[in-house]
Amino acid sequence: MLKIKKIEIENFRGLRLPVHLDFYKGKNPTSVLIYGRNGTGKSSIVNAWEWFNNSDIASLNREGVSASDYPHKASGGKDCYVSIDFEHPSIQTVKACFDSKKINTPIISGRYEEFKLLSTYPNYLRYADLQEFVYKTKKERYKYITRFFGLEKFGLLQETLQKSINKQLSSLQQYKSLLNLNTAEITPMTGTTDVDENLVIGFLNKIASKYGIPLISTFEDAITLKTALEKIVQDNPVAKELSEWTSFQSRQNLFYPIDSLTTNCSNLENVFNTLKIDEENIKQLILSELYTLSIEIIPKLDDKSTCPVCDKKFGDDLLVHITNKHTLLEILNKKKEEFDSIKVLLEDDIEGLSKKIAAIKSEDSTTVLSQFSPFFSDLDTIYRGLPNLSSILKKQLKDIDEIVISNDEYVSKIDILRVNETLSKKVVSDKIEYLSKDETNKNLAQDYSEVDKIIYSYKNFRINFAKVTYLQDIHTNMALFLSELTTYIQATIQSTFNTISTNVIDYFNFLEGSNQFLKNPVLKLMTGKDKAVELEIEFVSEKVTPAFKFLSESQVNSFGLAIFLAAVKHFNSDFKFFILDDVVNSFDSFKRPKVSQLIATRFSDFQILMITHDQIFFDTVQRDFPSWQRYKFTSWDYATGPRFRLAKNYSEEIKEYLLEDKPVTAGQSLGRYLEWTFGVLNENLQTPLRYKLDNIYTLSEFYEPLLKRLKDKLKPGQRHHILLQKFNEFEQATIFRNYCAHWKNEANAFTTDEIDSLFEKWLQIESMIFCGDCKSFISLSSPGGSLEYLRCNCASLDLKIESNYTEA
Amino acid sequence: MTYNEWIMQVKEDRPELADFINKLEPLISDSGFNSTKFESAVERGLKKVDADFSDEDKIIENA
Repeated sequence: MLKIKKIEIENFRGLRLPVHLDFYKGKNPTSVLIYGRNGTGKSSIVNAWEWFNNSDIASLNREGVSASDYPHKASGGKDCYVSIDFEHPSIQTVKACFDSKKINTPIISGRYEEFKLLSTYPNYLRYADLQEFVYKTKKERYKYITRFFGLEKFGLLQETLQKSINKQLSSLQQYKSLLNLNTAEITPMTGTTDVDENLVIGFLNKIASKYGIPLISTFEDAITLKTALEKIVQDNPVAKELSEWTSFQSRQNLFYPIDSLTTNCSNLENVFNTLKIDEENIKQLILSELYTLSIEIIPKLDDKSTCPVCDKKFGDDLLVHITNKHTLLEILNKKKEEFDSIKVLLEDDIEGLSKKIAAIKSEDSTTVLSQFSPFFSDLDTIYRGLPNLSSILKKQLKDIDEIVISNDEYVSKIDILRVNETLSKKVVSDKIEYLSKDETNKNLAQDYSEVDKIIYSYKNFRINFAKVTYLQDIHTNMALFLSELTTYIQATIQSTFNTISTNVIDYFNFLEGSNQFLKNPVLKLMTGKDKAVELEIEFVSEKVTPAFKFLSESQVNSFGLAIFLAAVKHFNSDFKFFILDDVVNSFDSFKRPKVSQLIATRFSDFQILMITHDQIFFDTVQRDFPSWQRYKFTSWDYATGPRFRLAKNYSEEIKEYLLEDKPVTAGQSLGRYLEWTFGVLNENLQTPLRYKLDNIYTLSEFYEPLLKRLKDKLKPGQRHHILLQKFNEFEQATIFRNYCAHWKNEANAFTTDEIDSLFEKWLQIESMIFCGDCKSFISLSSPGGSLEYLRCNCASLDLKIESNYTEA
Repeated sequence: MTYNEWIMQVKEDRPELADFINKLEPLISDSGFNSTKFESAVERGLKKVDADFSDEDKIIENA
């Protein structure tokens, strides 16, 4: 079994000086608990762990942080490393050092490969991961599942393959469209619906036979046929000119109609000028999504006055402030969207027009060129001007100083060509009509034109047909390969979930035990969708999908955590270790101790790195797991990284103060601890308490009702209960009653011995009402409805059993 | 199951895909599928189609 002895990290992200986390106490492996406010460098530890495992930090990558940003800035990429000491027969120390020459490949020392064989599945869960599971789409949930079921790489392959297939499909469609165009050009001439080389040859031979030209047997000889016919045309000036005008007419019909750019250019200028007035705010448009997210999140926060992004306190109503900012930006955003949509329209116009101009400009008939010289001159002006417009459109809004385009010469030339469309078409048709008066010339010109056209179109048809076949073949194979991959991922997800479902249900039901109507969650793949999972829940014995109909966000969190923990337990059986980074932040405060109890009862053989910024949860865990190493990250600065120290739990803290003969400080620590403990006990026992508007209580006001409640529920009658006897001694043998009323007053001088005696007596009581196995205090329950119990969650502590009673 | 094991398995289960998968394999890594390299290769394939027909035309013209 692989155990961690020590983690050492230096110069990584926010960690500057070496940070050592000890996972051994004496000779025994233990877990580590880290507490620190936001921004004290805690998350850098999880990032370092992910980098150590994967040479990559996926969440940072998604945010555009590259590997070159992993080392602490002040280190210059030197001495940036993660080193881990293990307890294992062969794996001792494994170290990953950042290599500034190959930033994506750390320099590894030690038996890393052997370590990776034991650490195969992700064993770290961040608050943000759970948030993705709760708030994001079915697709994101699918990603979450694939990651923790060890399918992250397969999921990534599936996603990237799918993107490539989509691109290929789009390219395939383009070539199919071109092929259809070629078919549409050829079939009217061959008089068939399909295109076939023999039909094309037959059509060409029909014309060849009219002019005594040798017949051809393959398409490769078509050029010979065309050359022979061309010679006949050249020998006939009228037919030659007629064929040139007919050919130009075809191009002209493809060129027209053309769209004016004037309106879109003017609109772009106007919207740009409006936006330019708000130039400063444009820079803030990038924050719009952040504001949208904040508006969703702030109402769900316990503390609605602290900015969820920067963690700073906001004096006024934060939600109103964010909403106002958001509304202003939304108006601006709409303008920006309008600007972008006009840009897209113009870009499409330019692309279409450029293609049309390029096609008609290839005219080589000197007769046509000279007769239409103003037309071709205008085309040149436009063709030279369009790239200027394109370059403006390619610029970012912030980089454009002004837009003055609607009056440019090439824009007005387009309108001139549009106005002249009818006239120029008439000139060409009149020419053709005039030259077609002689039937022989007319037929010769038409035949030549058709020979030219069918050869050109069929050549393109063959090229496009070959490309379509090539792409279709790739697409079919890619789709089959992807289908195999999807089937594998889905089958693995389902079988993995089936394997771990007992644990998932157990953990979920444990965390959500307070709600007896919701239980037994199940993960279901959505039929017909490649990348979507749905959650099903049992609500009052009825299975409900999607579970969101009945699950609160906190309950979905429980589901997400249950899946992670069950996967870790199932997959990493040779390396029992996991990291929870602030995940309890997603849970309601009353449910947080449940997380601690779940770990205590189901993961006692695991090493855990628990990170939290919640002081109460830190206190809970340090009480539940007194043997864990505890670190407090107190502050952070650029030059040193986090400042941290080993933290003591209440018990250790009180003992130390007593040893140092500081009874006042020890008494105050003990008072805080008792106040919290009485609160928990009163809640667990459903003790009636007097409510005080000023919210100032002495310990007596918690203690007296608690004792009365215990007496009522234990009903000793004529007998004695061992716990009540202990309470009696607690009151009789110590200064407790006096202390209850005055512990907050520093002027009261209790002695070290008095506090020590009080503390020791309390620890004796606590050992009877706090279960070290399931980490819970006793609570009042009546599971069957009639019998009432006073026992801990795992029922190994049961106050009402006979052996606790003695005869008076 | 690792990537390589799965790919081997697909080649066995679907022998008709084996040749195609052999061509894709160098483009598959822990970072997923290298779309850029794949698209360049497809683009080269399309250009080869153009070149083949262009060569054919040249031969005809020379003849």
